[in-house]
Formats: sequence, C-alpha cells, structure tokens
Amino acid sequence: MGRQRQVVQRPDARRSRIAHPRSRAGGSGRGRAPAQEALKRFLGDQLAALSAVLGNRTVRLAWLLAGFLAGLWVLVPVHELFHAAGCVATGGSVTRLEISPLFGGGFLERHFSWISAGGEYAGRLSGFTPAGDLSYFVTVALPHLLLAPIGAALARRAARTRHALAFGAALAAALQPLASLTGDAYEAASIPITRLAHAAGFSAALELRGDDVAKVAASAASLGSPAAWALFVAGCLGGVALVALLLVASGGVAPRPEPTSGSGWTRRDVLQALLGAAALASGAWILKRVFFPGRLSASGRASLETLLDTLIPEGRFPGHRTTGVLPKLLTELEGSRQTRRALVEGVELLDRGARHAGSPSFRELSPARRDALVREIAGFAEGTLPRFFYESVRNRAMEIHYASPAAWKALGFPHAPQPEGYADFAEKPGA
Amino acid sequence: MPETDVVVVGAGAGGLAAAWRLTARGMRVTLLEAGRRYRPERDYPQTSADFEAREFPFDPVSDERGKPRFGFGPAQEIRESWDGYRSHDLVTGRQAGNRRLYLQYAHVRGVGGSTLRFQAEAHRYHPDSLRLATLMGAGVDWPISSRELEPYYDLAERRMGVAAPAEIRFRPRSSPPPFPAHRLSYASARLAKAFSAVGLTLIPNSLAILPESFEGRPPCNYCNSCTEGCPIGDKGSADVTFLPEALRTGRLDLRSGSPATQVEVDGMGRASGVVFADENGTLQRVRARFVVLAGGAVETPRLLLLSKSKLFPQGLANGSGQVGRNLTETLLWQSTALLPERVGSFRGVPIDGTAWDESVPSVRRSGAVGGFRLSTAHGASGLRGPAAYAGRLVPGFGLEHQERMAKVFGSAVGIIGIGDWLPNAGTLVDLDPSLTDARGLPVARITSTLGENERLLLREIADRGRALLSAAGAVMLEESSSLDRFLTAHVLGTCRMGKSPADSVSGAEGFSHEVPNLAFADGSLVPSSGSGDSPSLTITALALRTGDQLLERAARGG
Repeated sequence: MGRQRQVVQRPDARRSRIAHPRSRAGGSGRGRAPAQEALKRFLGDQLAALSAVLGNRTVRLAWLLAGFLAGLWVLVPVHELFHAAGCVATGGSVTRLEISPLFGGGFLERHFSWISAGGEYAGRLSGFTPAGDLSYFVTVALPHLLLAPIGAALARRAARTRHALAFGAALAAALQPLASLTGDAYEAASIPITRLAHAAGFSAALELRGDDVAKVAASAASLGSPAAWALFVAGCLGGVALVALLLVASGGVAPRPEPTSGSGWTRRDVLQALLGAAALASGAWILKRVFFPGRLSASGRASLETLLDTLIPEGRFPGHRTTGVLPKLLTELEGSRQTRRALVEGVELLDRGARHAGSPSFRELSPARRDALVREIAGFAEGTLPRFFYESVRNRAMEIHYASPAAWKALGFPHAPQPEGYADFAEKPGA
Repeated sequence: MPETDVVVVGAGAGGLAAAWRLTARGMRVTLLEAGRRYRPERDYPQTSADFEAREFPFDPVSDERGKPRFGFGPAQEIRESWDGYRSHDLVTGRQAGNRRLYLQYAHVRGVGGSTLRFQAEAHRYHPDSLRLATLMGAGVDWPISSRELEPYYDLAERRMGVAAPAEIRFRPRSSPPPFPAHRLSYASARLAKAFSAVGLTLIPNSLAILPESFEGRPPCNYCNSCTEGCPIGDKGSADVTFLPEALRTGRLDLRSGSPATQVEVDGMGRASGVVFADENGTLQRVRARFVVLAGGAVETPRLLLLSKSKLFPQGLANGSGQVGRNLTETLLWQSTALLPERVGSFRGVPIDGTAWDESVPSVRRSGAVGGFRLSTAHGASGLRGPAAYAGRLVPGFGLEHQERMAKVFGSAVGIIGIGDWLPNAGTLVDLDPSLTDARGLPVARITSTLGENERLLLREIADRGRALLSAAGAVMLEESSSLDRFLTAHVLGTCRMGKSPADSVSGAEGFSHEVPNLAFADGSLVPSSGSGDSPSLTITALALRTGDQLLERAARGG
C-alpha cells in the first residue's frame, strides 16, 4: 500500500530516472519528457544527415564548413531584408537596417541608402514601425518562416546526393531559428505574451519586448517585479517552443526514406522548395516596391495636384497654384525612397477610395467627397502608410506654401527676419 | 619642448573667453575646436522666404554619416501620478511613452560653440546659489564666494555687451550693467498684467544683445532668430565677442575641424600636450605647458575618460572616480498658447522678459529646495513665422485652415520656466559601451534622472505658468518639460570645483586636484544650476577666472 502511493506521488522523478538507459537501448521513448525527446530527435536528425553527407571521407567536412560559412554570409543580409519585407508587407514602415561590415554592410551601405554598416549585431532592423502586434510578429518571424523550411528541403536533397558544400550552405538556412533563440525567437514569443499581460493590467509589460534577451533581462531587473520576471521566463520558454515547432515543421535535414527521382529530389522536398521560392519571390517583389518605388505617373501627378487643391485651395486666399507648391513638393518627395513610395501608393489609395465611392478617379470626385476622403486618410493610425502619406504631403505642402511672400499678405506677415528685422516689435501689430 | 604655452580644447563660451584672457596677457595659445568656423552671411542669413525651414546648420544628434554623436543611458520610468504634467503637442499628442524620452543634448560643435544658437541670456547667479548646502542642506557649496565671482561677471558682461535692467531686486549687483535693457515686445507687454495677476513682476530680460553699436558690431534689429544663428553679429556669441580681439594679438593659433582625442601626460603625472585629428584626419600632437579643457560638460569628461594612461588607469584626473559624475542640468518647462487677439509675437528677441520673483533659492512650501523664473519666450518657442503655425499650431486643411491661419497668425505666445536641478547619483556622463565616433572612439553617454526635488519644483513652475496663461485669456496648445524629455543645452558639473577631491574634480582655482597643469574653462566646472538662471554668463565668468588663475600659476613657474 505504502509503496504504491509513493510511486503515484512522484511519477516525474521516476520517469526521468529510467529514461536514459531505455533510450540508449533503443527503446521507443514512450514516457520520456517531451523536451528531451525533441532534443534527441533533433540531434539524431543532424547526425544522420552528417553521416549521410560525410560518409567516410573527412575532407568533405571542410567543404561542409566552407558551405556553412558562405551560406551564413549570404543569409545575414537576406534575413534582415526579409524582416523589412515582413514589416512593410503588413502595413508598417522601415527606415533603417544595420548590417555588420563583416557581412557586407560596408558594401551594401554604399549602394543602398537605408542600410548602414555597423552595429553590435551581425544584422539588425533598427528603425521600423510595425502596424500593430500582428505586423510586429510577422516582421520578426518572416525570415525564419521562409528560410528555415527552404533550407531544410535543400539540405535533405544535398544530403541525399552527398554534396557537402551545398549541404553546409543549406544547413545555415535550416538552423537559423536555433541561432535566434536569444533574439528573434524570444521577441516573437514575447509579442502575444506581453500583449496579454498588458491587457490584464500590467502596464510595463510591453517593455519586455526586444530582440536581445540580455537587454530585456536588464529591463526586467529594472522593473524589479516578479511579474516582469515571470513574463521574461515565459518569453524564453515560448521562444524555445516556437523554434522547436518550426524545426519540426521543416522536416529535418536528414534524407528521408521516400522515393526520389534520379536527381535526388523527393516530392515533398520539391514542393517545400517551390513554395519557399514563391514566398521568397513575393517578398522580393515587396522589397522592390518599397526600396525601389517607381515614379508618379502623369495621372498620378494630376491626382496629387487635385489633392493640393483640397489642401490649399485657390479662392478667398492665395492657393497652392499661386505659390507653386507642386513642382517643389514633387522634387522633394520623389527625392527620398520612403516618401516616393508613400507618394506612389498614397495616390493609388486616393484613386481606389474614389472608385469605392463610385467615381473613376479622385480627380472626378466632388469637392465635398474629396474632402471627406482626405479626412479619412488623415485619420489612420500613426505609422501606417495612409497617415504617413497624408502627413508628408500636407506638412511639406504647407511649409512650401507658407514660405512664399504671396501667402504672407493675408496673414499680416511682412517679410523674412533679415535684413530689416522688426523694429516695430514693441508696437501693436498693423499699427 | 612645449610648442606653445597653453592648449585650450573647445572654442565655445568658456574656451574662447579663456583664450582671450590668456592671449591678451601675453600667452601663446593653441585652440583646438572639433567643429568648423561658421560664416553667418552664408550659413544662417535669415533672408530667404523659406527661412523657417533653414535651421542652424548643425545636427547635434548624428554626424554626417548618420552615426550618433552621443549615447544615452537607461531611461527613467515615469509615474502615472505625474500624468497632468506630461509633454504634449497638437502633432504627436503625448510626446513620450512611459519612460523619459532622450531627445538631444543641444550642443553645437563649431567656433563659438553653443553660443552660436543661444538666446543670449546673461544671468548672474543669486549669491545663495553658491551656498545651497550650508543654507538649505541640499546640493553643494561652491569653493569660492560670489564676491570672488563678481568682478568676472562684470568683465564678461562688458566683453559680451550685456543689456539689462539697472536693478533687479532678486539679483543684486554692485555696478550698473554696460547697456540699458531692451524694451518688452508688444506681445510680452500684453502678458505683463497676467504675470502680476499671479504675483510675478515681468521685467526686461538680461541679454547679451546689443541695443546700440559697440566695437564695430551693429545694434539688434529684433528679428527673433537667435536660435538659428545671429546673422548680423549683435548677439554676443563667443565668436564675435572674444575671438576677433584674441586673433589680433597674433598669439592665438585657432585650429577648427580638429577634434582632440587624448590628453597626454609625462612621467611626473603632468599634462604634456593634446593629441588631435587635423582637418585631413591625420593625428597630430601639440605640446604645451598647460592644458585647458573647454569642450562642455559632456565632451570634457569624455576626453578625460578617453585619456587613460599607466598613471591614470581610470582616465585622466579621475583617481576619485568623479569625472563625469554630478551632471547638473537646469529644469525646463515650456508652453505655447493662443491669445484671443493678434499681438505680432514673431517680432522681438527670443526670451525678452523675465519674472525673477521666485528665483531666490529657498526651501519651498512643497519641501523642494531651489527656485525658478518664468519668462516670455515667443521666439524661443519657434514662433518665428507662418510655417510654424501651419505645421504645429493650426491642424487640418482647406479653406477652414486658411481662415484659421489668417485669424490666429501672430497671436501665439510662448512661456518658459527654468529652475534648480540638484545633482544626483543617477545623472552622469560616461563612455558609451557600444557607440563610437568616426574614429572608432567611444562617444559620451548621457544618463539623466529627474529627482523628487525636480519633480516638485517642475510642478510648481507649471502650475504658476498655467495660471498666468489662463489669467491672460490664452488657450494652451503645447507643453513640454524636463519631466518626460531630456532636451537641453544647459549641462554643468561633470568636473565640478570643490574643496575635497572626494566629491569634485577640480579645486577652487579651476585646476584639477590631481594634475597640476590641467584646468577647466567650461560648464563642467560649475557646481550648481542656479535658480532659474541660464548658465552661459557664469561659464564665461568662471573661464575668465580660470585664465587669471593660470596666469598666476605660470608666473609662479608652475
């Protein structure tokens, strides 16, 4: 009786004590802790792949390492670019991406204005504004969701054909979620966890988000509450779970006993690689739209002019046509990548909104409905493209307009500060 | 063999004043300045129609390559109980989240330093501000008395061309100011009654702005643009007050574009010279009998901390670990409001009137120690022209917006309040662990923490300011303050003077406790914030005094 109860009370201790000998004996693993089981499966998969690739020729190990390093070198900037793609694809905006000179940051910096070399990390998306939590999650997770499955598929194929160099490169992609355990993985998991805590009334919860576990730990320490530490630990565990999930879903890197075509591809590998490639291509298309936006078409230009008619109309007061806002505004907004994209997409948005209201374009809307549409765009949340478009155009147009003496008369503003100054400063204005 | 008598690092308010004094008394001075020399007619003429978009051509946040000039430490958490005093504006709403926001150390690198952008306030500390610890048991005492400081205030005022009221009840002085005060602007005179209504007396501010010609400099024409650089030279920035005469002596070797990277020491622990990058980026060395640091309270400690050697493993003059500690700011509250009628507030000088009634340091009813002043500050609030109204104060678009613009332009007024900041352990300058400058040297890291004393005082300033704007019938549009933002040019105390090496870096003479030929001539030397004072006149006066102390030491052979 007594012994039986003891066994029932301490099932976990018993289970873990007997787990090791059994697994070594090649048992099924039934009854083992899931984490341990996952780790064992992961290591087994890696070892199986390695033994398939290396066979008995150690020189292949050198090729594998070379492939791994080359893969890493290419992946770091690609990875960061897909963070950016994730952010803009979900309505956020990106202003700054840091890539270490070791991974070509110096080269990229010279060719792309939004990339800067340096920073304490291999790569980091340091200036971005996601459009909400979902957007934030996609930003953080996208490179992993895309690259890990493709890497795994390519690695399986390379292992099957014993191509050590290719295997090394693919392995770098397949394993990157693992390398992000203290970075992206924590950050991704912390997004839903901290949101829930915040909703539950823990106001500082959102400060426990971040892509550097050490820094988040410091924040948790400075907050000093048990709740902060609990959230931190939950984020760490959640990150591990996410990584494990993704690695399992990617199907491992060891070749599977499935029928292959002569080239060493299984159907699953082909499908996985194709889907991945399609996703990569769409990501690349988004990046192209964001970072190499086209110029405004003639009709887009006309729509922009109509927008200016709405913002600064001619009539009782001098309008934007009198002060020549459009050419200056175009030169400036088309001059920077970020505003050029906002301009092109914002004008499209105006025309789409007009079509929604039953008119072929923004230009053909009635003035009252144009007004309403602009008000709607202005009301979008901070950090979204419509709002950014409205503010860029509105604020810059106002600045240009009111930097014109033609607009000053109605305001009673006499002239620029110099060379005359305002000697009448102590008198009633207009006296 | 030293190539020169003195090398001064930094050509701002203090460095140029010291260099002027030293060259006038026969010393050969090499003056190293990290920034460039500005040409007002080209760099900030204020003549074009888009003058509002042309800010002073220097970015204090990041350098030409986008690298940050300064790092910032942990941001302080803001308590919800202070919500009624948060910074807000019409464009972004509330400006900071639940932590204090580091905006910028508004520092100018260039010949003239931050006086190129200062609003020419020329204030003398109240004598009690030098004895806070003795009188009120808070803050620190200066190792010198106000009587020792006063002749240097007089000298600084004469050189800078200060126009001030003959007598200020709350700021005693023994000699008349060099020039009579400027008149209040129409907009400020309109607010004078509201000041009275809340128990304050608005009088013209004390300003280093010329009301009449002086030494070839023209009188002010009230263009209100001091913050973006004075194009005509009536404002007493250090490049027009001290530099020309120092250059005329033939003994000043001014090297602009030459950031110092290290102060070197000899085997005896004396400063032997300074290493700097010349205009081509090549490292050079200048040897001197004396080294005077004047890079401001952020860059001066940085240079010392960068100057590690066998004798000074913690950084030069830092045996006690005090270098960079005791960073002292001034407390700032600022608001913009709309009067019901147009007052042409774009005209005048940026901070033209001040009420000193509350500026005598005291233990206040809230328990806070210190004092504050409130000023009329329309130009200082950026209300220089129509674009500021269209961008900041009048939201929206269309005919409605145009009508509103025509109605309110010229009716916005700005008020600022400045108050004591007691030094605290959480406010300091050190080297940033990760950010570096173009040469790979760590940049300075600023950590700013608002103490309870500051929060109480800020609350008092804001309450009084709001009451006066309400008495004026004005509608509040924007408020910002030190409560949730770090944005200041007033930085002091990081190599402060004191009696004991345990809690100060320099002694009463302005020389390092540890390195006998290393002196300070900038805000880093100043131990306390003053009670509502802007610090540049005090920095200048102390720098002139450091110059005299150096001359004495040199005469003694040392």
